[in-house]
Amino acid sequence: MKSVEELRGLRKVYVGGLGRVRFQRYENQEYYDFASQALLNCLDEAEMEWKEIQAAFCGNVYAGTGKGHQVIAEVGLTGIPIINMEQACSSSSAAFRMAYLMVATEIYDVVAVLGFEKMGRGLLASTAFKPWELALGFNVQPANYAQGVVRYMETYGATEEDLARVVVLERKNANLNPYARWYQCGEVTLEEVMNSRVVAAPVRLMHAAAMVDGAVAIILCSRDKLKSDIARSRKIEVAASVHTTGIYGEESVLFPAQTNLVKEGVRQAWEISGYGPEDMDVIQVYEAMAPAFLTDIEEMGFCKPGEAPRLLKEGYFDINGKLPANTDGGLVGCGHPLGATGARQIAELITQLRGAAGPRQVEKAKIGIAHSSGAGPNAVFTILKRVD
Amino acid sequence: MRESQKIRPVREGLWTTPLSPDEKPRLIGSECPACGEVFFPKKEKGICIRCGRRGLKEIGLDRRGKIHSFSVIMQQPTKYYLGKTPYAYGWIDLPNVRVRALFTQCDYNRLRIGMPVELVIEELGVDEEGYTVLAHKFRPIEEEGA
Repeated sequence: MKSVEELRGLRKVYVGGLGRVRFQRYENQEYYDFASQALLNCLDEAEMEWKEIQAAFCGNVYAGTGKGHQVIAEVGLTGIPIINMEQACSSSSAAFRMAYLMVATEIYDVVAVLGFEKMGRGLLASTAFKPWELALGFNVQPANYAQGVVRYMETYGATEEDLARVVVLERKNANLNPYARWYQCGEVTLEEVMNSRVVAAPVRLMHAAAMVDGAVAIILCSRDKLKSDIARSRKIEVAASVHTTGIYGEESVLFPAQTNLVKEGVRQAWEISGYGPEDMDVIQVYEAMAPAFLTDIEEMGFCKPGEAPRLLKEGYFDINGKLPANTDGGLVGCGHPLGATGARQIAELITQLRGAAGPRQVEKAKIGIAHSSGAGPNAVFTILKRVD
Repeated sequence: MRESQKIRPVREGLWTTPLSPDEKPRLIGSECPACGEVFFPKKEKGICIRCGRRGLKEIGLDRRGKIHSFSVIMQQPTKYYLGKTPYAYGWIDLPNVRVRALFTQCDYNRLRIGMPVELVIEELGVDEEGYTVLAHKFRPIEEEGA
């Protein structure tokens, strides 16, 4: 296994291109229709042809056999390895990591990452639960989030208003993001959120990320393969890419663990990149339900446990605040097409670091981190930096 | 329950069947002879996922514990759920192990972290083959000495 020093010594990897489609329902399209559009947008932005791509890693949860192949077949058939990856909601950030490693270790020079999902209609039965657990109704995601939220509220005195404030921030940011489900849908008030229907107390309907379809494509490459003006003049380098899974002891009474996959993953990301939480200009945290925004920020070490609600209220995480978070609206504001979400978070970092985020641009953003979670459990961390 | 009624547990091996009227059912867990960690449900492969030791032994778990966390679910989950809605489930800390279970025989709005609860085996619902399905649930009890 490579040491941290050796990982730092690997070839540098850069963003060669980025393409996406807006997150929304594509009623009359199959996943390969809108995902191949994202891929074409990415190739155009990169000023590359498909024949230049040497491998592709595709993140998706629900589509069937050969899904990445189906998408790519709309664009080209060049015989390259196409690898389909299912890591629940972190599928495409985990795919990004594999693409990064392939270029960093010099197996390939130009690799595509795809994240896409056409969500089902109505409630989906997660296969992450056993049949008897489904019979007992244990598979309710809002309720499984709520388990942690009730403890958080009890331990730190967080209020319903604190939870609602996350939604207000994210919908405000999404209102400025042309790729978000809630783009130009107006801002929402604390009262609207707090009066929305309870799904699984204390989690409310407006806390939940909307089920939408969507796709994101990213090209990673070595420095000499960068082609487009934007990719060459505003170079975005991968400073760390880390993937962790469950660590024993989170639910143990006798032997409770002092760490978990999020704390351990972010620790590795800081160690490999040489940066720390204080160095980040912009962050993307994971919150399929809004309250998780607060706990994820705390677990990642951006403030002390229980402090996030106060900081949020003070505007600390606003676009013009000290540590802008989920600047594109996050899962709550963009919607959550499972396989596309991880890449969407990374896409927002790329956009911010390139200074291309328009009205939601964070001033002087040079470095940022994204964290995505997925059932399994999985946690994936990506640190990107601008290195002109 | 009528003699002819078809009954089955939501899953075999989750709890003990009392052999006499004085006995009460217990959840069945696994205990590691090396490190002492306890698991529920029991580990079918008999391997301690904490220390790696093989040959875990089956044990009956304590019937009483305290609520670690909970949520009240207001909407029907998937069609596979056999119970009624709204319902409540959460994690219960027994002395040696945390278990996930439904709550019953209480006003869900009064559920609190730390509330003492005890195990009951109760009807969950009727499955598509017409079986009455039983499940392990926890109900609040008076604090001892209160």
